[in-house]
Amino acid sequence: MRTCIEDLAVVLSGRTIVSGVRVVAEPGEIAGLIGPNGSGKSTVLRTVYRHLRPHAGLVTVGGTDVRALGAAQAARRVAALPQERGSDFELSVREVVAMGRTPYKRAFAADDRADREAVSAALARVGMTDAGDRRFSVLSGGERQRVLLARALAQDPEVLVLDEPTNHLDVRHQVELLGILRELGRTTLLSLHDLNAAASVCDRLHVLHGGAVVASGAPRDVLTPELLAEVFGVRAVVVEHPLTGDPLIAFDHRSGAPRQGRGELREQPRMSRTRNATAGAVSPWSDPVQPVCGSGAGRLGLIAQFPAPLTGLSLQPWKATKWLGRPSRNASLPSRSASARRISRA
Amino acid sequence: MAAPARELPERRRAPRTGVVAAALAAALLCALVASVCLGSTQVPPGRVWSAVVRGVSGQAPVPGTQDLIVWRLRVPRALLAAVVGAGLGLVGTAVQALVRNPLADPYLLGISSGASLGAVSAIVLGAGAGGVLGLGLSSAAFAGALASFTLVWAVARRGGGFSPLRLVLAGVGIGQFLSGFTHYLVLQAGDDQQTHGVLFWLMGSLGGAQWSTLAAPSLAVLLGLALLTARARALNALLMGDETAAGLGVDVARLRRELFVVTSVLTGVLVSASGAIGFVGLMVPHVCRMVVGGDHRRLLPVSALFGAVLLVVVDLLARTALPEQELPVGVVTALIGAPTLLFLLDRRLERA
Repeated sequence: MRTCIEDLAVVLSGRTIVSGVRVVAEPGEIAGLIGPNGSGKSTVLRTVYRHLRPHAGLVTVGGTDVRALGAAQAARRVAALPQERGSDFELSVREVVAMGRTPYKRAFAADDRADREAVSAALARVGMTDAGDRRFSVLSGGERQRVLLARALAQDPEVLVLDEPTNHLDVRHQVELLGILRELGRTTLLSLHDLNAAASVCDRLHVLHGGAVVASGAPRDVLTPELLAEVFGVRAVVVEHPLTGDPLIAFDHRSGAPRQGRGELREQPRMSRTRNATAGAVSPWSDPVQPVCGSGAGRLGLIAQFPAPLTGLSLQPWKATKWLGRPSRNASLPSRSASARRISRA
Repeated sequence: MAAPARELPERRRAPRTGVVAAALAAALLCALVASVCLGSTQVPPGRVWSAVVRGVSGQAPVPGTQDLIVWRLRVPRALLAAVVGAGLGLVGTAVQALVRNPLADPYLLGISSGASLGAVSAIVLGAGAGGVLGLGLSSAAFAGALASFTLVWAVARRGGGFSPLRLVLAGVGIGQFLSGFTHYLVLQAGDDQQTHGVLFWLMGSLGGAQWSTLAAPSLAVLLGLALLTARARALNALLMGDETAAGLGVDVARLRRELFVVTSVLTGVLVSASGAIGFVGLMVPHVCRMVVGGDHRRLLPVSALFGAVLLVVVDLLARTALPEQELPVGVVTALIGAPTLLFLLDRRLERA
């Protein structure tokens, strides 16, 4: 079912998170949302499964506004796999999958034969038939994600919405999960961090940057070295995948930490009025100045405590704004340390 | 070929819950009978039966103390224990889902602190004085519960609210604030008699049970069971997270509001009837989850039944454990409940 997001804007506690977003997934198509951390991918997806209300714009599924549908009606058309992983409340795998039947059930209604069949079929579809009686909380990350996908399938939706479904999965489980999605052939809207996975699994890509869509189209057309440099701030080449022929992005992992004034890193578009205001309100010397005053002075660690006049550094406000105004770079640090933690745990 | 393998777990699971429920119902009946028979005066079961039949059919009681003890004191008390236990089990289960935290109990949202303050004010400041442990005290407690509910609501709803964290913080904060007043009032209590009454109330007691005080809690618990069970699927969805629930067609904000109102009113009614009996609302859902799993369609009724059994037994112990002295029931629930819960959880976590 054609899913269309038109001129979407979302404002959360006075902050504009995304605006003017246009995203489309044609029937049977897998449409991917890519973009740096904090670019608004999850926010856009949340409006499709009605967790967030659009401030402006429209989300339509099969031509109908999802807000005009009742909550249960909408949930029969759109099934979501958010990033939540559930909690330990002694639910069995079958019970988790059976939640997918919620939009079809009235109060007090017991599971009937059709429900049980939908649950079994969904479990079989993700290859978890034998796990029905296991506790959900003891499953591995890959198994868990497959069960959650089965829950979405038990919902029997026209459209699947998945928010970074391959997060925290090892390569094999990533490949498996995305393989299942391809086989399903359902209209799918998903966000992905792995650009190579996005390039090979998606029919269409939408690139989000600072809360706006900056590029849309076939992966081959969208994923260019220029775009990767501008949006993600990385150096990369795009080659042809020797096995599949899909675009394959090879990153330059040695290009190192961000330095000021590197040519290809331009100022990001600023979406939010409030974010700008915040950045402007921070005085240049009350923030850690390490990156600006250089590693030698920064290592002393004291300089950041004192106002610029005392340290003899005269920082112009625009410089600080420029540094504060790089959410993607700043935000990419936690994700890197998170992946480092994962490696050390493994 | 795959069909029988698929059907089997369904078939195995459903009767298991039925068996558990039947066993609990039988246990409840036994516990009720035992609770009425045993005590400072032993009454043989046959005598209990005839007294109950006479009481139900409205005949005049046989002269003598035994009929009076059975019909006027022990039967209402045992029933109140069952009703309050059922209610606490129910509210505990619902609140744990509401704030998505297995450590939550019915008193987490601050309602009981308000009720306690109301009750203690009545005892110390005199509204319920004159030895009336009946309507006056309960009304004061319920008024206190409503007041704290209003406060917690006002704080928790701010900022697009009723998120689990907001609810817990508002509940704990306001609960502590009201407890401060309660403790101050306890210190102001005029004499030992008052202090004793206050402490007994704070620790939870079923001593005030009368036929007249039984109606409100019973009605509230039945209504609460119906309202919560009607939302059992939504509660399941809520366990997985707000976004998941929204994706499953649950109006999360509305569900939280409803749950907060239902659990608060129920808690208020229960605490007004018996004081804040600790630990039942925390322990019962955990034990029941281990037996029948986390699906609220089974968990809610089973929690209610198990809570009822537990509190009837505990009240029996509280009355009979020490000669010549009755223990506050909350003391016994904590002394027995905490080690049991720790033991069970320990085994559970080791297996996982």
